[in-house]
Amino acid sequence: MVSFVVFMVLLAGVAGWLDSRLNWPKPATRGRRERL
Amino acid sequence: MVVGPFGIAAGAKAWAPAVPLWALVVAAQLLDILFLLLRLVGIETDRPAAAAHPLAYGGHLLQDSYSHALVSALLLAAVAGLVGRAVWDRRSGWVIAGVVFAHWVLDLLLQRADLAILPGNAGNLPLLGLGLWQQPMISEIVEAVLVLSGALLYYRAALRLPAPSIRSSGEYRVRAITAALVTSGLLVLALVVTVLGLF
Repeated sequence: MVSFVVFMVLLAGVAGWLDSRLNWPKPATRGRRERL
Repeated sequence: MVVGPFGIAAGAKAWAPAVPLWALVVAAQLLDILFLLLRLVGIETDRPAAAAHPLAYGGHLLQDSYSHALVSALLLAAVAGLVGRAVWDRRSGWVIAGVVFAHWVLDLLLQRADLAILPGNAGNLPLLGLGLWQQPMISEIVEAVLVLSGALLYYRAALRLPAPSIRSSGEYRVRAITAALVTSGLLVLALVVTVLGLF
């Protein structure tokens, strides 16, 4: 149970933070709203 | 299913790139997060199948009839999908719903027949579960395939992303490789920990 929570935090936190610094495409709806 | 959903979360990034990795991780483990909360308050339980090997891989007798009931999983997937659609876009919503429900499908393959159809096993309907956990070698291969495929899909998707500008392309490439390696490495480490029965 502890290992599960640790990996949840590592993947969602550390890997999630690294992931957020990448240039992923933006959501389609946001682009549509911006154009409107 | 212990670690396989982590692989699904990382792999799903290729289909829903706008959704942050943390959201996909939470979606993939939503049923288990609910299970942990219900276990903490004593509503659901997790007992070792063999007292001599309480940490053995797949050696769990689960009473998770609220968090892991078929109808609960469908409802959670629908709600998570609607949230994903509202926050990101329609495609992301579908992917998130699929990631949430994929956890239940994987549990159906692995768990003993302890998955209820209705929450709280209302109506005492037959319990579901194909019990692949009782064949540890096969279930470990299933988990490994999921985790390694997810890691590979994430790695490839991350390295294909264009740099925000030509000037920063070198620095950005290092950033992409770091993210891809850390995510893939954590997934493989989680798999090793699972197979060693330390989860």
